[in-house]
Amino acid sequence: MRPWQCMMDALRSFTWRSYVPLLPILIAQLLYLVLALNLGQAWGMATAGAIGRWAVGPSAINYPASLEILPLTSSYVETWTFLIGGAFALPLLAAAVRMTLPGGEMAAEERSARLRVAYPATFLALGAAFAVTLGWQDIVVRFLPRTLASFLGQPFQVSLVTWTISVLVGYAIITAVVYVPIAALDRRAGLGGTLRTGLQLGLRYFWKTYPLFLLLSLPALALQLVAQLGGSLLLVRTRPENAAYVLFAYAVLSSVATYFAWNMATRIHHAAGGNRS
Amino acid sequence: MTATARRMRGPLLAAAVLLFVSGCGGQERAALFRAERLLFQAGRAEARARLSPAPPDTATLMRLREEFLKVRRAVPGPYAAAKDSGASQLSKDLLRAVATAEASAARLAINARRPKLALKAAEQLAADAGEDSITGRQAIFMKLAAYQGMRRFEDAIKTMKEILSRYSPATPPENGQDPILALPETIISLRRNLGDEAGATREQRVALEYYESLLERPLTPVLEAHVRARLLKTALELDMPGKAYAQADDLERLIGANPSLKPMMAGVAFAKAKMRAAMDRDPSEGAALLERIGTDYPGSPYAARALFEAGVEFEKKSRLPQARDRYQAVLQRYPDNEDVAPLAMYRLALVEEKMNDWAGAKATLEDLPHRYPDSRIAAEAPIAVIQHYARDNRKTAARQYFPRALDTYRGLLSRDSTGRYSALHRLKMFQILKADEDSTGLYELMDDMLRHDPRHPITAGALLEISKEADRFGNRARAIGYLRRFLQDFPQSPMVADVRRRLKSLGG
Repeated sequence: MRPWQCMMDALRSFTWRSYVPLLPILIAQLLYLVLALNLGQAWGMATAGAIGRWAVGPSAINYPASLEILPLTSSYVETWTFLIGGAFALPLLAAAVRMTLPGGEMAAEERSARLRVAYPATFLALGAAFAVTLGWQDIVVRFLPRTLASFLGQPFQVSLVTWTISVLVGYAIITAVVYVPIAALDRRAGLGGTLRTGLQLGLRYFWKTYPLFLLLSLPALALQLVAQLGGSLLLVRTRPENAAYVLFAYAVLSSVATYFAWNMATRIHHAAGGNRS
Repeated sequence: MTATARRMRGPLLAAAVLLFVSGCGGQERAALFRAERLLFQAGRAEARARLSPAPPDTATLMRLREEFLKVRRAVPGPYAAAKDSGASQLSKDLLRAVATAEASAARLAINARRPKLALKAAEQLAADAGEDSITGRQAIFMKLAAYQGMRRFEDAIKTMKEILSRYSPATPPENGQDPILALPETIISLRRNLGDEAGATREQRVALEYYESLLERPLTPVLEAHVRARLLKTALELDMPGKAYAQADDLERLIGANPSLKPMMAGVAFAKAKMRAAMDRDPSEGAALLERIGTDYPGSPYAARALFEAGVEFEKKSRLPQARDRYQAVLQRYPDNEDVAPLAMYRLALVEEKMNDWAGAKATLEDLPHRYPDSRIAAEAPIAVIQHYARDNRKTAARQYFPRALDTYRGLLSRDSTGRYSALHRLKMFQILKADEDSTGLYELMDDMLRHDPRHPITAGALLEISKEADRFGNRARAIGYLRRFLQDFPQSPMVADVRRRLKSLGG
């Protein structure tokens, strides 16, 4: 079965039961945005305000600066919730999808045992991926804009190209670790073995997965682009609160894209002969 | 422990932590955030209203004012920063956010011709300010603006003097001015606008003393330079060359030691060139130095003034063609300079008259109110034409010019009936109507003055004059009425005793 077919199958096979593991992550992200929209209340200031001040400094709790930097602070929240929540949610999602595929059934006890390895393996893989992505973005922010400015000139074009390169590389790094939770469910293995197998699968299936991963994420990426590069425009031309509403929509679309991406990856691995107990 | 209690333990603990954390400065921060949000929204509403082609009307201004008033309603006092001068920065920021909103609301009230609301807000803010001197300062400036809006000019001057005695000037920002340092000049200008030249000269001497007193304390170089610059300007206006030269030299030394003050060098060069031109019998060298300022400091506000003063010096020494050339050069090079160009045009007309070019002078004087309607000197132009005919003993020509002069003043008043010089325009009309013995015109004009400039010193003087005229016209009831109105509107006037005596003599 070709990767494209796997993606279409994934899109056709949405079930709430398999989506539920990702729901707490989405709820946490949306909750942060609700709190960030309520910095005028003590409870909002004590929570989202505290996060903003820790992440960015005192300017994070002034109006309208708090909404201008909301894309940045919410990206920190997104990273941490995905790292912690995803460590549990992604293996559970992969297991739920695998159970619907021929030959993918597992006994409950076997499933629990493999999940117990999958959680820490996924956490470490995601953590490593985020660390590499942050390191890469640090390099990008320092050197790329200056280099591009000499070719492109216009500041918006420089920002757009920088953002695009940053996203493409970031997604490539995540694609490399997508298969870690999936590999953990193939057979019982130790933490090291699971990580190694997962990374090997990620590299093997990279060009089958990466383009489709980007395709599934396009709607979310479009909103991320608006929030990150158009923040000042939203502030000046519309209401500052619109930045939060864009991020609301982004969080939902991103969660849905994550669901379909891991669903698709599980099917790609199954089509290549994996997912058999 | 029951299963339910065990399940609830986690959420209850989280709620308790949240409540505890909320109390740790969260409330004050949240209040500041609310204030900033409302202030931002009000500012944005005003910016949008001002972008529209027509200026906002009174109803719109009052609606915008309500937006700013929401800030105080959202974060009502008392304010911690008012009670304790050592309060946290957060508390101070909160009080100052409210103060900024109140100041904007007061400004809009004044724009909407409701200055009493601004005065009330200023008094409330002063009470809220307590120990916070920055807010206190803001409140007193609001009060000053309210008095000016209410045309209570004596109260405005009193308030300005209170500011000068209570607050010290701060180092001005780059290319900026400190509002406190500018107050003595504002007082002088206000006295002049009230027609009190003697008072203006008195205030110039007071300003000189004030600036000299500031130099007795340690000042930053930038602040010292600004103080010396104002001292220099005042000494020049008071014709005190010794003091002016001393200040010019000190200022030059300061500028030499502080490169950031280089733009102020234009002021020093101007002062020295002006004194040179005034003292020399032949003003040519001094005038040449003045004209060089336009070349050496082209962007400086002194460039236009220097060229004008060169013309003045030539005029004083009766070198009329050279004076005319300089005044014309000002009008050609700096036509949009509202401070100097109208004066140059007026003096050009006077020079043309002295050079026996009455046709040219008359055309210039008639053009002046149209070209510079917002200038003080526009009020003098029509009267200057009448005065020329009077000097030439051409009483008929002068009388025939009355309607044209009155039309000019009416035109100026129709632009802005309560503008800065509206009282002056009405005074000139009064003088013309009185010379024309037009009783009906005088009574109508008096009603207009009482409506638009009720507490203006010019109106006070006009009430006394019109009372005499009404009596002369045989209308004793009106004469008494005007005197009674004077006593009602100007109870603090030194003329009250005389007015009471006159009223008694008229049987009122």
